[in-house]
Amino acid sequence: MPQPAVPLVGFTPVLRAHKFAVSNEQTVTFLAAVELLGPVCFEAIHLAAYACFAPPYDRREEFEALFCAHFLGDPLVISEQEAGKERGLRETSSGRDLATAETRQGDSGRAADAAELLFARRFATGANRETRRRLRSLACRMPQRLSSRMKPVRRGRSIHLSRSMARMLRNDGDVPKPVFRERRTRARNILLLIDISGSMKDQTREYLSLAHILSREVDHIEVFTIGTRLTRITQAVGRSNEFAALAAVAQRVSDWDGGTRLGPGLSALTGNSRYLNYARGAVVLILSDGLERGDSAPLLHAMQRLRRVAWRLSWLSPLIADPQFRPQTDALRQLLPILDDLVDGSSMHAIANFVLHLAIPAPRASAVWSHRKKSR
Amino acid sequence: MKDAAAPLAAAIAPFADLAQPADVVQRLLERDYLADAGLATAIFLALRLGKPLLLEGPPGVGKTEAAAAIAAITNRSVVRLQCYEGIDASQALYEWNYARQLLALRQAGDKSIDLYGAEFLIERPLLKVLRAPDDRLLLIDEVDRSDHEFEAFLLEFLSDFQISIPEIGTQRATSTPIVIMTSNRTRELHEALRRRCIYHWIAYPDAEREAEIILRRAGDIVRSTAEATARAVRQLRSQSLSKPPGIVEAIEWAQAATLLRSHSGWPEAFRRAIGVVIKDEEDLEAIQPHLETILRDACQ
Repeated sequence: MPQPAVPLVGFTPVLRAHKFAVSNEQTVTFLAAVELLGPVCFEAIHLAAYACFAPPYDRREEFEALFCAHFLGDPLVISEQEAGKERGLRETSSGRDLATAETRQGDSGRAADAAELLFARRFATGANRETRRRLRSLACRMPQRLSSRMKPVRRGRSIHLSRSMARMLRNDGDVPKPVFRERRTRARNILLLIDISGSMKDQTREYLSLAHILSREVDHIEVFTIGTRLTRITQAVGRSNEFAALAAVAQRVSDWDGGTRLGPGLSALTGNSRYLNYARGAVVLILSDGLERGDSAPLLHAMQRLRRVAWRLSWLSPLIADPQFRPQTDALRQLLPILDDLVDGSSMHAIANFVLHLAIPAPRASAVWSHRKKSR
Repeated sequence: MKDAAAPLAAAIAPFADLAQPADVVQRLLERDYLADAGLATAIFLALRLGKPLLLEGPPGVGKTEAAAAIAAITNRSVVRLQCYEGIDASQALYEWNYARQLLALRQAGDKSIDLYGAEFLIERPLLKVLRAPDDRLLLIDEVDRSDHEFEAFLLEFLSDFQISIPEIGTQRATSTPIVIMTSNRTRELHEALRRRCIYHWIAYPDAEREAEIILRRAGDIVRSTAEATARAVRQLRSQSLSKPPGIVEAIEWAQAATLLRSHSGWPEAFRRAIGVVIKDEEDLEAIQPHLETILRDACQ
C-alpha cells in the first residue's frame, strides 16, 4: 500500500470499532474520492469522508469526533477513548459479563447502573415466556388497513389484466374465466410509548421486555421511552436476543427513574414531523400512570395532536388494576374524552390480552368509565 | 488516432470537464442553483465515480431541485420516479400493455402474432433510463415513502444496472446512468442502500446563502427584502415548529410580502403574508407571541 493511503484506509477500522457499519466497498470509494479530489486541502478529505461513509444523521457528531481524532489527532477525544478502555479493562478484570462492560464503556456509570437494575430482575417473573407464547399469533391478529398493492382473487370488481392475459395465452386465446384483483391489506403500525419515570419503576423492566417481544412479532413498530426526555429505542429493543436488546436500551436511555415529564416528552414527539409520521394511521399505545407533575396543558395539547393522526389511541396504566381506580387526576380527566381506551396495564398478561384484541372495536374510554362511575 | 482515443477517454473518466468540486459549484450557479462545498463535493464524486447520489434532508430544502440542476449541467432530461407506499416493480420497471395485447390477439384471428413486441411494452422510469443512460438522469424521489421490499429491489437495480424481462431477455445499461435519490427521512433507510451511494445531508442554508437563493429565484425582489426574509425564516425554524418552513416557502413569502408592501409597512406586510410560510394552525398559534419580535428584528 502506498504510504499516503495508510491513514485513509486506517480510518475504516476506527469507524468499525465504534459500531459504524462500513463496507469495504465504501473504503474503496473513499480512496478513489480522495484521489480524485487531489491532495488540495484537508477539507476535501473531510467532505469526502461524509459523502462516502454516509454516517447516520443522529451520529454525525460522533463521526466528526472520530474523524478529528484520527486525522487531526484531536487529543480530547483520544484521551476519552483511553479512559473508556481503562474502564472496560477494570470491568472485565472484576469478572463482569461482556454486555455490562460494553455498557460501561459507552456511557456514564448511570447507564450501566440502569442495565444492572434491568438485569437484576430478569428471572423475577415467569410471565415472560407465557406472554411470548401468547403473542406469537399477534402478527395475524393485528388490525389491518388497505395497502395500494393488488392481489389476484377469484371474484372481485376489477380485472387483473396480467394474470388474465397469461391465462388466455395458456388457453390459446380463450377467456375461460378472468382473474380479478383487489387491494391487499397490511397490518397497522404500532407506536409504543413507555413511561420510565420513577413512579413507573416497578413496571419498567416488564414493559421493556414486552416492547422487545412485540418488536420481534410485528413488522412495523416504533418504540420510544419518555422520562425527562424522549428517546427512540426502536432499533435497540428490536435485537433478536433479549439480553442484548435490553443492554442496548440501557445504553441509549439516560433518564431512568427520573421525574415524569410526559407533556414535554410527547410534545417532542409530535413536534418532530418524522416521529409524528410514525403515529399516522397507527395504533398508539402509551404505557404510563399519567401522574404528570406540573402543568397538564402541554400533555393535553400533544395528545390532541396524536388523536388527530392516530388510528387508535390507547392508554395503559398500571394503576387501573386497583378496582377503586377512577380517572380523577386532572390530566386523566381531561384526557378521557380523547382516548379510545384507558385500560389495565399492570401486568404483561393484561397488556398482551389487550394487544391481541386491538382489531376488535371497543367502546370509547369515556363511555366505559362513565358507566363504571354509575355502577359504583 | 486522436479521434479514436477521445470516446475511450470519456468512457474511463466521465465528466472529465468537471475537474474539481468548485467547477460543479460554478456550473450549478449558472443554472441558479447555489450549492455549498459539501453538496458540490458529493455531486462531483457521484458523477466522477459513477455512483448513485443519495440526498437526505428536511422537506423543502431543495433536494429535487438539485437533481433538476444536475440534469441541466450534464445535458440530460430528468426521468422521475415518485415513490409511494406500495410502489412495485410494474410501476418502476416495465409493464406490458395488456389491453393492447388483448386487442391484437382478437384482431389477429388465426394468424400468429408476437405479443411481446416493443409496441406492447410500456417503459417505466428505470427501464427508460437503462435504455438511454447518456440522455437521461434517474431521479428516485422520496425513497423513504416506499416500503422495504421496494428498497431491496432498488438495491439490486443499483448494483448492476440491469433488468431481466423474461419475454425479451436481459437489458443492460451501456454506461453507468446518473441516479439521484432523495429522502425526507420519515423513516430510516436500509444501511445497504446508504452504503452503495454517495451521501449528502442537505441542511437548511445559512441566512446569507438563503438570501442569495431567494434573490435569484424570486424574481422582482429587493436585496434587503431577501435578507429580511432569510433572517425571519431562520428564526421561525429555530422555534421547533411541526412544519418548519422550507426554502420554497421562504421564496414565496418574500414575493407575497413584496406584493402586499404597497398597502402597509414591511413588518406588517410579512405578518399579513404569514399564511404562505406557516401552514399549520397550531404552529401559527405557537408562533404568534414571538412573531412581532422576529419580524421587527428581521426588518431592521
